[in-house]
Amino acid sequence: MRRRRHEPPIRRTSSGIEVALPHWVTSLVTAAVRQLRREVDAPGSVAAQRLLAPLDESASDDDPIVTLMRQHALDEVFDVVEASAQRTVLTDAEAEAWLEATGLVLAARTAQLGVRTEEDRRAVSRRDEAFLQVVYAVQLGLIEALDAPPPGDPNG
Amino acid sequence: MAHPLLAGAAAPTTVPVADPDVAVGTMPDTTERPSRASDVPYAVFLWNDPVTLMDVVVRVLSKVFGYDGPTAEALMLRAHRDGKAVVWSGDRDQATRYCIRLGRYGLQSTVARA
Repeated sequence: MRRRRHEPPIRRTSSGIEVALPHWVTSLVTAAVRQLRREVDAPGSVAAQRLLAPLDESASDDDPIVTLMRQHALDEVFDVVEASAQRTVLTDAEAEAWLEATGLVLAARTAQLGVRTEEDRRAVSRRDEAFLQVVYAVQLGLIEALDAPPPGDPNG
Repeated sequence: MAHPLLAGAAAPTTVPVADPDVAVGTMPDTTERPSRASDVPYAVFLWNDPVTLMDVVVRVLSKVFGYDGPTAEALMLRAHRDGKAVVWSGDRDQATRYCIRLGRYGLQSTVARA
């Protein structure tokens, strides 16, 4: 059997969010998420500085409880992605975690690249741009699938 | 006494909604007065970044705050145009919880007095 050409690689089906991305895309994204987890766990890394920058503008550091809550939130996202990385059908919660994780990857990667302005953004290398475009495609696919009505929904 | 951030999150539908037309840094109109003097008034600032897709930001604002599409899009555009935008205001603990949720998507936000 072959997939019909017009079907998107990420779509809502009666059993959940079906992911039929090329293997290299899945591998690229999951590897980036795993690497990000290691980087976030490394104190002082650029990724940690970006993703755990103080929330309170009036303080140099967050309340330790806030820091713990933020680290726990990131761990939750990473745990869900790692647990579902090999699956071809995701629950909505898992697909949402993938959307979160890809956002984290983008934020950390661009911090590492020193992208702060639109001018910086336009100056990224072709290789880095290709990576960003892959992540964007995955994100848009996830959003489209998550926001799609269930098959057979008369309101869909 | 338990840390206030460890208490259950307030229902998003009961909190004041930021008016996208309100100037950045001013207190959006509110329909609810926080009960503790130490909790008033704080704002969640969403910061622009040149990388995150607009579609993603709009969806996250809708998901996290329950905003409708036009409101979420207006807030996203304000952040894009002005560098940052007040996307919510209310008590400090809830503002911090919202920042943590936005941070799960890689969006940069901060809490400050409105």
